[in-house]
Amino acid sequence: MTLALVVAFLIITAIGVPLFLLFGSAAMVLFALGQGGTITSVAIDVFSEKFADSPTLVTIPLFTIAGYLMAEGGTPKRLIKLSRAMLGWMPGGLAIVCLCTSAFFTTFTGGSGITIVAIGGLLMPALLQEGYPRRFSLGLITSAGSQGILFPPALPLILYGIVANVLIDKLFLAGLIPGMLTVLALCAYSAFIGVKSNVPRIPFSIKNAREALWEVKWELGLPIVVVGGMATGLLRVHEASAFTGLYVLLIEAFVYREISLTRDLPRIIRESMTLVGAILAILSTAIGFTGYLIQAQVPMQLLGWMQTFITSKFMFLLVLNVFLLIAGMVMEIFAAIFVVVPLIVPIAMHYNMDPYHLGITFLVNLEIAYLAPPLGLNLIISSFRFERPVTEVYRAVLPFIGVLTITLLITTYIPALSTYLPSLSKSKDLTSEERGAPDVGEKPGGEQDLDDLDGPTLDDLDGPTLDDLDKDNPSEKGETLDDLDSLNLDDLDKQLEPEPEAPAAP
Amino acid sequence: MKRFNDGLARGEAALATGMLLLMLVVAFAQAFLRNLSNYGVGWANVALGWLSFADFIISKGTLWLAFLGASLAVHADKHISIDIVPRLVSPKARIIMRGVSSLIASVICFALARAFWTAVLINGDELPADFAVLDMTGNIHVCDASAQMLSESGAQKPGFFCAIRAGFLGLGVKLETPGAMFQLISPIMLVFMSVRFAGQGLWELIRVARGDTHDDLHAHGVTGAATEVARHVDPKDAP
Repeated sequence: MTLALVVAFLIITAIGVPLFLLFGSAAMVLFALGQGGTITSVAIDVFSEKFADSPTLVTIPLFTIAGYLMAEGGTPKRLIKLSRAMLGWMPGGLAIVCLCTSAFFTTFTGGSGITIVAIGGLLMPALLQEGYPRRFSLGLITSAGSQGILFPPALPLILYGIVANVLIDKLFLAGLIPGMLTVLALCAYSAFIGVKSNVPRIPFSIKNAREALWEVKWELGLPIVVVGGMATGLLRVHEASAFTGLYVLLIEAFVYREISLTRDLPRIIRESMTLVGAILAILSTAIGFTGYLIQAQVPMQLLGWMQTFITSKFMFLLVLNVFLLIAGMVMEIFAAIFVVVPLIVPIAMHYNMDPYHLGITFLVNLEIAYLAPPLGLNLIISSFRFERPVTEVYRAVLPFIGVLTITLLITTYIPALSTYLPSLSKSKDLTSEERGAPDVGEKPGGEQDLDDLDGPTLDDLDGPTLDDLDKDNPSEKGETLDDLDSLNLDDLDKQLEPEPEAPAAP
Repeated sequence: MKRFNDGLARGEAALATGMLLLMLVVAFAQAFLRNLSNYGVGWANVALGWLSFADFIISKGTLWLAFLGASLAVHADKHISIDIVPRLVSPKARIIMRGVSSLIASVICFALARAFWTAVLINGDELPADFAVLDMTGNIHVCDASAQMLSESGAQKPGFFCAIRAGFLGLGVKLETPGAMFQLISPIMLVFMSVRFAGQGLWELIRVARGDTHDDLHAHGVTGAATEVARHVDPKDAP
């Protein structure tokens, strides 16, 4: 039976059934077969604070529309002009321009491949014309497309925050230093190639720089206001996303007049909301799926199994890197966030790993996964956009993967790079209880022995008590026990939803 | 049929557009007023009170965007899937795979629609304190309360909401809160998606049976979404 189900699942995965339905069907089957849940459990969490009522989720559509508006307006052109005027005099100038502009752009478009087509499409001919080798240029544009996912408010960063249940504003701060480190490392490599290939340099001109800066003034204000607003507490994360969306809409439509409210806006909103729908659909069913995994104590079983051969944090980090890279090679990036994060968060907590350090390490791994053959999204988009065979793109990105691996190791083994800035923030960290799902009932870094792992005790199994009812009701908050009077007992069974958290070990 | 489908998608897109713009404005206004009110501006605090529905719009709006967008993604064939095998096979095999996978997707969508429908009914059956008036027999819904009970408890009857609630009750659907009503978007859109998947699956299989094996690999999925943007980026902008 189990084998038949697994085979059937692999077949429907292989023929290309959309990911959100794979999660949805797996969750429905598991809930129906396993204990303590019904098929309806798949839907209950979607209406709870894990999805619809999550204060962070709304940032995904709002930041995405901002990114799309910028991509279709003249922002790529203006950004390139600016960074060219500022950085073009350096060795490898145009390549560095490509990296910096791409990073800025991916930050706002969420690493969905738009950077490669929007920025790469504009810069590829110029790179070749200036004398950069073709393979280097192809690799550069392909890898530059994933730079920027560590800077606020990039979509993968937000998704990680939601799935792992950590504070988004702290996660935003955590990504800054490692993000800059990766961009700088790639810039250094580009400069080296620039010198080696004898690419001519453009002399720096103050006049050009001033002109370019003036042209892009409206966009440049944005990261300052958004990051500044969040750091000072003037803007909460979802307000920052609304500000960004509205601001970009106003400047593109009324200041630059590059987007027509009647002709372009409806189409752009529709395209961006299609992407948002595709991503949120996965999130909505993945929540049910991971809900089942946690209920079935899969992370704890994994942990118990791992403890037998991983004894130190150092070893854990190494295994984590290898595991994430392999996961990234066979899985699409968003899929990796949804599937892998709920599994590794409790394990990482056991090995005393800082949640923000884990997040950034995870995302640097994914930056590489974007480029990892055979499934890396950037490889496929790049191969299509520049009409090169995908195997040529594989070869082109190899040196870049090498550079990124070095920065990955640095980020992994020097936790301070990602934990220093969040430690300065005044935002209160979530307690493990508030953190909900991925928690296995132990304090971060707390010691746990194997006895804790052998599953629920009898006390845990005999069903929810009246106290649990309050917690489990998926409805609006503010219910008291009195409200229960209005329900009849038959309904009660239906209402009881399985305990979303693994029972806490005594 | 195709025209109806496209028209429906236009309707969904219009709804999503309206919701997105509303959310942008409401969330921004909330941020603006909150900061003003923190600086002690009196009227900002009053206006913030009027905007008390903002959080509701933002959270339910996200749910709407998620499901409207997911339905649009089915219409535009932009859902994310693990497509390594379809990439490796011949165009004909690919079309067959897409046909079969769409039919399977249709079935899964329908099952999900049922699960979400049940969940909405469970949520709709609950009577939270905000909508309850205390009576000797227990809590009754504010819409069902008599004038005397309302005056005793100092509650007011939300007329518009009560009318919609009565309409749903007439259909045999008990939804006690606006929140539960807004949740209806998910089962409805899942049914739309199920029908769309079925139509697409059948169409691909009919196409193959007729001997039409033309297929553009890049029209689908995430690559398709990125290419869409690329079409509007002006190559003349290159430096």
